[in-house]
Amino acid sequence: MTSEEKHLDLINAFAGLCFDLPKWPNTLYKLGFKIKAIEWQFTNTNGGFVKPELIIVSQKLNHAILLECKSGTLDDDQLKRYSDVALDDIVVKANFTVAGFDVTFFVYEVSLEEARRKIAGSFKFPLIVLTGDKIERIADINKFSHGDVDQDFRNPIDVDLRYRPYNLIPFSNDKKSFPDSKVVNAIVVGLTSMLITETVGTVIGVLNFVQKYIVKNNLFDCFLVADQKKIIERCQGLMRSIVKKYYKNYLTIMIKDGAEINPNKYDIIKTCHSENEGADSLKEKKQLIRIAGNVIQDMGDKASVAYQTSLDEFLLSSE
Amino acid sequence: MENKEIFDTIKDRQEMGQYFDRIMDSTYAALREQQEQEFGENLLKSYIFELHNPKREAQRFIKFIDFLKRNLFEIKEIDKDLLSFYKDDFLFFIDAYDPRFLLIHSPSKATLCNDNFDFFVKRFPSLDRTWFNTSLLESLSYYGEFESWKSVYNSKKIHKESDISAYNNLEWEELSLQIKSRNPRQKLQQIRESNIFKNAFPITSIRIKKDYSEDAFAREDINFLGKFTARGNNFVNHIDIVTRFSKSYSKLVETIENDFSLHFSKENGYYGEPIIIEFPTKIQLEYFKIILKAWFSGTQPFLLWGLIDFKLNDYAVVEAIDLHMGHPLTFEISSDFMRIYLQKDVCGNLITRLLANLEQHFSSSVRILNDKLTKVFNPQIE
Repeated sequence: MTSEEKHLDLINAFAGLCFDLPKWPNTLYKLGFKIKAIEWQFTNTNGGFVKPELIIVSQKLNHAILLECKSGTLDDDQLKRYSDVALDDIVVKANFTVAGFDVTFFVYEVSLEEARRKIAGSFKFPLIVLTGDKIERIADINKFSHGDVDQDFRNPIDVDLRYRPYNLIPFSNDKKSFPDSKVVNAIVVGLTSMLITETVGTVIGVLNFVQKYIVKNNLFDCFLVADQKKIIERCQGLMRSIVKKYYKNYLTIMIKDGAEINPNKYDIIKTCHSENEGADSLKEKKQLIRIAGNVIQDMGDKASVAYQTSLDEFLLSSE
Repeated sequence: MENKEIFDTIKDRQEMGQYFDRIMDSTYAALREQQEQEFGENLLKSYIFELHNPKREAQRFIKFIDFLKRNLFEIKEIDKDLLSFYKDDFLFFIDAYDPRFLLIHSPSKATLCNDNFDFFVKRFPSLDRTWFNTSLLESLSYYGEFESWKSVYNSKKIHKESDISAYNNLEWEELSLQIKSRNPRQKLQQIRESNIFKNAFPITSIRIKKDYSEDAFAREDINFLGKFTARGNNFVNHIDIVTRFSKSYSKLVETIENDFSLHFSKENGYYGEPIIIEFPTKIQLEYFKIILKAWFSGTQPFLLWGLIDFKLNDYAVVEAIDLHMGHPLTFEISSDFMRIYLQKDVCGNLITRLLANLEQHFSSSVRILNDKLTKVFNPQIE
């Protein structure tokens, strides 16, 4: 696992607290917290930007938590900007109607001392650390402003890291956390899925494709419109080249008017022949998997090698 | 009467029921006289199939009928939900009263049924079998008097390269056991407690008997593939059991889809719950990669294909596709559990398929850890 990936993993470890997952604490879920936004940018009282990884809100407690995960160093300027966030910024600018909020920093143990040094005495943010077996609010720094939240973080929360979730938040627009090779993997799985599921003539816009196969779980709606556009822009170039090079017998790309200005306006159309709905021919599925293997070999995450052994044993081919 | 003649003759549900009554009565008489029959020969067999159709639209069933037409089946509409089909001495009836969980009845030879239904499932993408895992079969066995059970374990079906028996600390790669006893439930418990068969002890089929009146009863062999072989003396009683199982199964699949798929909405935030399946014994490091590659190679019976990213020696994330329906899904797999992330609109039947086949071919002791889901896998039945 790369150090960059660890950042997305840290977000997921915290996100897990907002779900009722077996083998992972449900501390925030019990308090009614739900993830409401990912990388949602707004301005503080002084007009400075903040962009927490997650905004979680509990209607039950009428409270929000802005999460900033740090797998590396803490930025002094960023700390200052978060300290200038006021309640009306959350309500009026970020559009979450709550009576109170906290900004909390979540770090790995290796970053703890630096985080402690920068936050203690200077800022009011509770600091949480993920250790080898605990999620722990650092007791001698700051408390959560809501008593119920603080109560549940008063004692360290035991965790078994083997069970930490990694895919609740499957995508990050941060290139380091989610490199292009992973986007390629997601595109290939998505195209294969689409070709099996959809009928000939089906038109799917790039936007829908990204929502369904890359960002997933409708989480695209969690992002600001500007970020949605960036995600589309990031994915579409890769997608276009993959479709043109590897899927020309199956898919056609149609560019709509105005695509030069708003490049998410192109569609992928399934054009290959299939007897009825989807790729009901086993031979066709086998061919799709072969193509997927070729793309990954050329462009994708080389760690993903399952296809290499799968084709020899592909029993589906017993037509 | 020949099957073709029956196909031509039957005009309504009552006639179909009476025809099945006659079949069941004659086979019952034969069985009473201890004339053992060739497996499945002449017995009425019913199957529950899942036609992926969460909104229960008529269109999906019409497409399936078109598929059967293209495969040269003669088709007769008995009423708006019930159709009969005939080709080359193979006769079957589809009751699409629930257009998602189809009931298929056939008096034809078991081999004809198996071959044709296998063909349908392989070639028509939205159609799948229903998969009754061990806990579900055991729970549903309370619907009648539990008479016997069968356990068939076969690790070689999915683990060609890997030494799964070594992983499971088993002496067997295959195991077949059938117990008929005055108290089969107790025997089941005793064998489990003895741990003699360790993780190679799934329930593959059960036989239950339900008395409806002094002289009306149903005796059913029910296997993990959603097949019901009727040995009673009355179709009404047989169909009572089939529909009872079908409803429990339907509830299970819909609970998976509604409560366990992940979805974000602005109103409700991010909700759902990944499903965790725990393995009883840790997969040893030397087998981990081989086993995962076998599971995600796109082969029967899992029908899962995926890109495996081995993040650690004993931990992988798999971006997978259910090749049956084409739906994408994500797995996290370690040496002692798998966590499954479902998206909205993914077919819940793939979870029952995965669980049942893990039990039958990997380890019979795999266990779902989500409390809410465990309850639906163990329905209280009256």
